[in-house]
Formats: sequence, C-alpha cells, structure tokens
Amino acid sequence: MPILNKSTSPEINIKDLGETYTRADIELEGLDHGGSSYEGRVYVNNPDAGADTDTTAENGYAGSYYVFGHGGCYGDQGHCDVVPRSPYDPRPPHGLSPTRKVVTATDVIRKAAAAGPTMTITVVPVVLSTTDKVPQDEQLPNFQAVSVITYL
Amino acid sequence: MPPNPPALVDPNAVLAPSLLPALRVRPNVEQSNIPALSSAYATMQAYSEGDNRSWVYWAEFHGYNRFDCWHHGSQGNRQYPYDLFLPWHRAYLHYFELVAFAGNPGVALPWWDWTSTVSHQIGIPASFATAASGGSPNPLASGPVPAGLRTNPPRTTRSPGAPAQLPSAQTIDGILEIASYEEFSRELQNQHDAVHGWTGGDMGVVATSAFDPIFWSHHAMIDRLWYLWQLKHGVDNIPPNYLNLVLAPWNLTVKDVLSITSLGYTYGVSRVLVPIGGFSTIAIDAAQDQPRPI
Repeated sequence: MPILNKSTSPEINIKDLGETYTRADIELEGLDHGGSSYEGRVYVNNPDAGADTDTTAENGYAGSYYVFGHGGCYGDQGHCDVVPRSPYDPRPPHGLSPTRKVVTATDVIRKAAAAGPTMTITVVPVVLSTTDKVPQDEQLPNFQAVSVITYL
Repeated sequence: MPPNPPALVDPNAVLAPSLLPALRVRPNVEQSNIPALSSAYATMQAYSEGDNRSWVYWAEFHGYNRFDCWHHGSQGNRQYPYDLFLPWHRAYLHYFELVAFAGNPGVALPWWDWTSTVSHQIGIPASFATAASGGSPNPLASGPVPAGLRTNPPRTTRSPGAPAQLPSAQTIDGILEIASYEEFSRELQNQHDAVHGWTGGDMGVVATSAFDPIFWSHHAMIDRLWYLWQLKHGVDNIPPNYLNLVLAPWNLTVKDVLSITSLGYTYGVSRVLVPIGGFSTIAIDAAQDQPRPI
C-alpha cells in the first residue's frame, strides 16, 4: 500500500489574491499519476484534517480531485521514465507526463479571507485503487506546487 | 440531469432492412439489449489474444501493453498545449463498436448513467454485476486479461465503493454548464477518474481498466456527456489548434470525430411510430447535431 502523507502548504497571504475576484481556484501542478488511483481532499485552514474528517464547508473542505492512476510500471526498468521529447519528435507526449488538477474553492477562500490574513491548503489523500506494480514506498499525494488563482 | 426521453420502441429491435436506421443508437444500459450485448462480448472474449477481433486485442490499445490512451494531458504545457482525452476515447469506442457489433447493426454500446437514481442505489448495473451466467463467466461482469499480464486471476475483478459515492447528477449538470471546452474536458475527466477509482479492481487503474466490460459503458457515458455539452455549446466548439491533431493509432483527426452522426451513431433515443398503409415506419430523432432540449 502507498504511504499516505497529507500535504499542507506554508501560510499564504490572502491579500495577495485581491478582493474583487468572482472565482478562486486551487491548482495542483506537476502532479504524478503513475501509481495508485486516489482522491485528494482539499481543505483550507484545516491542517489537522484527515481521512476521517467530514467533507463539509465548516471543516474548510473545498472539494476533491481524483487521479486515475497508471497502476505502476508494467515494463522493464526505465519504461515509465518521462524523458522530454525533442521539438522534432512527432510522437504524443509521454503518457506519464505530470498533470494538473484544479479545485474551485471560491466560497471557502472567501470565508478564510474574512477570518484572517493568511490561510493554508491541506491535501488529504484517500486511496481508491492500487496494484502490486506500485512501489511499496509510493508516497501520496505527489505534486510539485500548489497555487491559488483568482478571476475577476 | 434530465434523462433522455423514454424510447417508444425497443431501440435494439430488429427492423426490416428497408427500415434500418442509418445511425446506430446507443441506449442506456437499463434499456439495452443485454442478450445481444452479452453474445457479442462473449464472442470477442472467446477469440485468442492474437486475433484482431479479440477482447484482449482491443483492450490493449488503452492500457497494458500499448498504452495509447490519452489521460491527464498537460494543458498549458508549451510543447503540448492540448488534451485529447475526449476525442481520443470517442475514436477508440467507435472502432471498438464497429468490431464488437460487426454484422449486427441492431446492437450498440450502452451507456452507464452512474448519476441515476438506480445507480446510486445498486452501483454497477445488475446485468454487469452477476458473476456467472448459465455456468459460465458473465461476459459483462468480467473480461479476460492477457497471459503476459497475469494468469491468476485470469479475468478482471472489481472492488466497488458505496453507490451513493458515485458522481451526482447535480455535479454533472454543473459541468455541462461550463462554456470553455478545455475546462469542461478537465472537469469531466476528473469525474471520469472518480468512477474508475470507485469501481476499483482492474477498472481502477489505467493499465487494466479496458479489460473490464464496464469500461466501455463508462466511456460511452463520458462520450454521451460530451455530446450533450456539444448540443448546448456547439458541435465545433473546440480550440482551433486541436482540429488537425491525429488520434493515433486511429486514422482520424479531432475534427473527424466532432460530429457523432458523421461517425454513424447517436444518443437520441426518442422514436415515433407512424402507421402508414398497414405498415409501421420508424422515425428516429437522430438529433443531427442540432441544439435541442435535453
């Protein structure tokens, strides 16, 4: 089974988001999808959230993203290594190129803005499906950055 | 989400050749011709792996061992600023359907409405859930996996979650309102991912999902939702840079698959029976890609 580590961001200055937005998205960038399938539950200002935390606005729950995982590597060593393509390479991108997931969290972020100057974002992974091809030391969630984007 | 209008006649009824519809009509699982579907899948599953009509041959395009499928495209990536999730799977299902139901135009891929009341009560459709049928494996409940993948178990398995956890009609209604194609595709793919994970077992991961018979009805549902979105927002509503992209290994581009009627099928299921001179003529609402109430 994968090793589940909830991930909590550093404090984010809410004033940097402006005040006149009509929509606020939490985006997870550079997200790995080569292993298990899982649900990522996203909470705002609830670093104590866990798999047993109710998915309610009162708990800062913003929404979930879902990863349909590759299921581990079914080839030999190096088969699933993502190697950047040459500009002259007509093949599609490697199927395991990192992806992006978006959770629209406007109301929860507005509530956080009313409560204080900063907020944190916590992602709680819940495994939905895995295989014996997934490394024992797989760690979920696995992404490179989280950002908050607002729209006027 | 409002259901399709009820069919007034069995959409899979065998019609006289002169009355055959030009378009194949994909039905809801609950209204589909289960015996004919089972027979078609059983035939594919009985073929040896090397036969290009076999279940394993067609499932392998998606996952083990070809991995041609499109998931989680890198939208925003400067080198690949597109995601072919929806058009690639439309082409894939089209080819599969042509092979699976060759010589039997009265059968079509059924779609599994996992937002429906019955799905939120029982989960997997009953016809796809019974493990055995007449002493043999039910060809709708499991499919064979290639020997190179594993030999035990030799057929797919599932581990579904609680039915109430399937995506709601309210969630899908909201996604159908999204005006941007790329945002719509991304959000629909997220719910698609959820259903794969919910079903669990072999359906739960990319590598083995297409060996499970419910895969095809899950993706028919996804394709139908794209079709409903197109009726609302425009059949050709897709960024221009997508149009000429090739959906490898299929010899189709994105623009080739935008209109499902040009591919020979539809999801319109309402029919009107019009008696003429003692004969019965079937008029089909094929939608013809024109906006209409859904």
